[in-house]
Amino acid sequence: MTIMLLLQYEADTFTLQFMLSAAFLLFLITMYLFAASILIRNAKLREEHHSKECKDRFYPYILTHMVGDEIDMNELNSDLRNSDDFKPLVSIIYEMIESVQGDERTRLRELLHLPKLQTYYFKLLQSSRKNDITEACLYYSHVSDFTEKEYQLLSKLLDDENLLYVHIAATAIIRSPLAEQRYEALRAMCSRERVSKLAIIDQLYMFRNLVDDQMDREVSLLNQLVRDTSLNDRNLGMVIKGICDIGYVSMALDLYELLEEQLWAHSEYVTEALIYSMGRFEFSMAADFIVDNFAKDSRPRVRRACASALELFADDAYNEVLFDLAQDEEFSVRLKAIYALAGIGDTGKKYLLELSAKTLELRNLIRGVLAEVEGQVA
Amino acid sequence: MEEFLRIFLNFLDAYTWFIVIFFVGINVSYLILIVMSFFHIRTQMKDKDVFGLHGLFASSLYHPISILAPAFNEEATVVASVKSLLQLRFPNYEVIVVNDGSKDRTMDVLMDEFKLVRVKRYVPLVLDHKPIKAIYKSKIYPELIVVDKENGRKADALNAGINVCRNDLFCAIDADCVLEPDVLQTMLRSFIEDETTIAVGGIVRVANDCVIDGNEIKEVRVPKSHLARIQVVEYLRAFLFGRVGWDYLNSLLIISGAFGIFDRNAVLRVGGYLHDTVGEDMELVVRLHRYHLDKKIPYRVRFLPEPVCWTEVPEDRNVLARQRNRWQRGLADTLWRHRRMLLNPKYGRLGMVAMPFFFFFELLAPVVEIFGYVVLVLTIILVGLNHQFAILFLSAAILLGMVLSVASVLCEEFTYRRYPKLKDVLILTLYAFLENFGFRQMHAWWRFKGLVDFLRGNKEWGAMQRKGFNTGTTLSDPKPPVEGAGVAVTDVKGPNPAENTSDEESDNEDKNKDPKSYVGDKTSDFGMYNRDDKFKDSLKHKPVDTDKWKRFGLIGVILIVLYFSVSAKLEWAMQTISGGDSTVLLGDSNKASQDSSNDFNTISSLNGTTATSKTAPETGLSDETSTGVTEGGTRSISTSESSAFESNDIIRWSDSRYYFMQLHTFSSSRRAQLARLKKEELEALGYTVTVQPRVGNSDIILWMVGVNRYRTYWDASDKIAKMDNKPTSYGIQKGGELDMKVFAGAGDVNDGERRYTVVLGSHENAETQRSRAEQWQKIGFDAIRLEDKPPFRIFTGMYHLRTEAEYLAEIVVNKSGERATYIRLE
Repeated sequence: MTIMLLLQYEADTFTLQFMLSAAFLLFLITMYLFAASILIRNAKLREEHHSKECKDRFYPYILTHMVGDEIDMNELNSDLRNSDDFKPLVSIIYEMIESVQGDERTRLRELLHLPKLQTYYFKLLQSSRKNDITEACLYYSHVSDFTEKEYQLLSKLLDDENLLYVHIAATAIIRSPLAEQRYEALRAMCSRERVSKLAIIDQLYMFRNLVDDQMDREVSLLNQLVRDTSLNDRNLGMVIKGICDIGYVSMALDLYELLEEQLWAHSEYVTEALIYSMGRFEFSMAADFIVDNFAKDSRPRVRRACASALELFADDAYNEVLFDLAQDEEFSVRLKAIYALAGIGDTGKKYLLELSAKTLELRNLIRGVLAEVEGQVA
Repeated sequence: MEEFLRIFLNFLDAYTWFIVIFFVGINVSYLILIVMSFFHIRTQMKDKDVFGLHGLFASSLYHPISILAPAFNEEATVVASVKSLLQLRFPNYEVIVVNDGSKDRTMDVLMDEFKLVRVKRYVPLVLDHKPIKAIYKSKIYPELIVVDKENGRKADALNAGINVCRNDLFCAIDADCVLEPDVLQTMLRSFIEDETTIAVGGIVRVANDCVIDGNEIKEVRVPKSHLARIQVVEYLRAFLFGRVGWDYLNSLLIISGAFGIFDRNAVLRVGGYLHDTVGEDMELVVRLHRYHLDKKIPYRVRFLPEPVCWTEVPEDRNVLARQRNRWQRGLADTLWRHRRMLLNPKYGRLGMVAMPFFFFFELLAPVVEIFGYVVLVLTIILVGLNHQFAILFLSAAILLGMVLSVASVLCEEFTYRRYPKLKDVLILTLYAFLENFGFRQMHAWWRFKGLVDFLRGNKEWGAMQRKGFNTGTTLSDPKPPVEGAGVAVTDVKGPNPAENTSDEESDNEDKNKDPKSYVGDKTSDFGMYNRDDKFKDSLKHKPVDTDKWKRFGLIGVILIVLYFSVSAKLEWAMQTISGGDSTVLLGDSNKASQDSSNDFNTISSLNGTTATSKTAPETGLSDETSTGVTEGGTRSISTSESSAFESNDIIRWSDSRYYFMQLHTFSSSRRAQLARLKKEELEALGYTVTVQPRVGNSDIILWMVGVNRYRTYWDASDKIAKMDNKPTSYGIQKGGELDMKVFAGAGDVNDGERRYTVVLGSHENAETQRSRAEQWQKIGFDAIRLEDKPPFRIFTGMYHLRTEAEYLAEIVVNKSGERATYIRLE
């Protein structure tokens, strides 16, 4: 229709001329987009075909090397022509490396040290393009062992304004075998605001080295970290919870001391985490201190942590405290205390009985909690 | 009839411009979204593999996600859907299926298939919902929980699910959807990247005719049904471009109810899903935005184009109509509830860009479109259509739509390429074109009807029949539609304790009495917030029935304001563009005075070369006589007594001694008729009126309607100020160009120059020619020349500019409907 108009039409006004030009331009754009779709499809198909070919070519090398048989590294290296060849190779290794352990994983990593790959990804790391840096960081997070130069470049990213860069670089560095380097990555993450709790947990778990026994060094560095008041307190709260979760039991005393020192008294997040950690470590010598100092704290989060810790201590000596907490103004504290009393056993139930007579809301709450706790036991 | 025509033409003038602005606005917005989306998707593609999350998944500290799948009469699809949910590649998640009082065998098939056993589980009733009958866990899949509750619609079921779940994030999906195995891990990335992320939406794709094996999409195919194919294009466009673009602007207003992940604590803070709306998904997202912006809490609502949720779309026209009707009602309801955000700078881009976009281009678009079709028909019947313009406009509209659709197909090819065959791309491109014919109009009608239903207070959900997915390789293996599916619930009044029977139900009844207090959960180490009831209450709706007239009023006012503002402003804009150097609106009198005096010399000197009529300025009467010349094979006839306009119309606007009160300008050469009607209207009010054609700077002829002349600018402005019946647009004019007569009979001023004239027609003999020429004279052509020999043509004045002859020929064609062409004289 438009083409017919183009042939027949004698434009006589600005509007018609404009409309005609616009329609024609749009027609061209549509055709261009359509042609581009087809071309891109073909290009992608070619790329996929090449990638499949490469994978077929490299799989035997990778499998042979992974099981410990000798392969000619020079031959593999010379087989890699350009970045189109690198990507299929590393994608296979990335995929496999997470599903194997021990020597097999080490041998797979050796393949990532092929000279051509090292040169290529080092170049990408030096690039100013975000996509290149991301790709390089992904490579280094699998390599787990970098040269001083590579570390320098990666650690420079830890100071970047863009949080995503920091996270990406930290994800790469946190795989380092050197505890100090991993500490720097974790510290960089903890120093930033708006870092997700999930990211902190992820990083903290990666901080722990499962290959070599570095527990003492890690504990020392983590102690240093939790005492660093320049860091974000929310993040440190998560780190402390993670420390309990991972099981750095030797830190229990250090954390208790930190709680006693009241270095973080101003932060409800860290205080909450420290109280929680005492419960998780079942560090009962901290119970009195917690009850005396935090059971009546003005911050609901801290009182809730207190109830939570007492639940984990499961000591009926603190039933009175839990009885009071079960009547707290904050619902979450009440509920936690009721769970704690229900978990203590018969002595706790006596208190619950007394509590249920107080208000309808408490009665309902206690009925619900007991139903669940007993149901679970059954 | 004439009165109606006058009103219609008045309206048409403004409406045309409104449509053009609307058309340009909506398409420019979409094109901007396209460009932003394209780059945004590319960036997202590169980032997707960055975080392995091996550390996170090793942790027992954090179990991030509960999947909530409300099911109502989903007997046909629920087992397959739940199985697909249980096979996701993600550690430590729970699936909570909420059976929302299904009337079919949904609960039975779940019990049988997953070996459910009843359990006791404390449910803190933070959010209101209908009573829970029982909670079940699966013996086979420990991560599966089934909540059996009384019917209360989807929002109610989701609220129950949120209360039951114990993780910090929940994923709300439709029970009939199939998720890709890696979907949760990918979605989680957004929450990891930014602590402040509170909600993430993902792309929803059309699963009709795809092959599902092992509860996973094994082969993606373009559906066979025409309606479903069009919806594939629609979904690609809406998700790949619309939502990605809004995500880039951090102004995403919709996360599809079919698939979205939310921060549970954030949702609890704002009070969960609303019961009394059919657009609960959009409403929740807008409420989340509003809450966080009100409280100045940093937050992000994200959309990731990569995670895929597959859903069955309606293939039946009636079902689709009901669905789109509901969506439109949901949109209207949400925008109405949050109307304070509209154009409110306090809400930043959301209030100033996203909300207006959704209001004008999504909510009102069907009104404009349907109204456009009505106006089109009326225009064809009453005043005739400019076919060239209409066809070109239609072509441009279709092509723009196609650019958007084909661009989304391209983006799909560039990024995810889910459709494996080249034939699929061709089909999608074809349907991007075909959807403009029939479907687009139907769709506009459904949405228009949805808006009307909203105004009437209709809150029915509407039935959605499922045929079930294809499993295995069989393509045509649909399960029979579920009879009686989707019975609408029109009123939700909250829990009804009288209906409870069991102990658990009594518990829930009692707990409902304390909705204000709540705890996040037992196990989570993070959340501890109080529900902000005050905020939620502030959004509560009055019953629609009592409010509908207010809505009518509001929308009416908006449309009226829109109409008048557009018409007035555009006319003013056209004046400014094409002749604004000598025309000003009241209220800027100093500038007007200055401008008009500056421009006077130029304009009058221009007129001096063309005007041959002599006009008495004081009276407005013309003493013009024939200026026709005999030349070559032509003879001239004179005229002085006949005119298209009354004699007092003939006023030389270029007379430098006077100011004229210009009441209207009709900014198109096709508006001569309108100008004359306006003249009659004003004359009926007692004014002496003149109509003047004027060539604007942009080659557009303006038809100016004005009254009287004044010695000073101030006299004219005083007169306007004192006018009882003020016209819709007015200004003060000094100096102009050509009046009709001068224009039509530009005599011998062009001697010795290149000359053009207008051929008014060819006739069989001299007699016909003569009688026809007299008729031309009667309608205002002063200088008529007749050709002595066959083909006995009639010419009018001579012009040294081709464009002048061209203008006149165009005016003649439009005014008389006769053929007229311009030619160059030897």
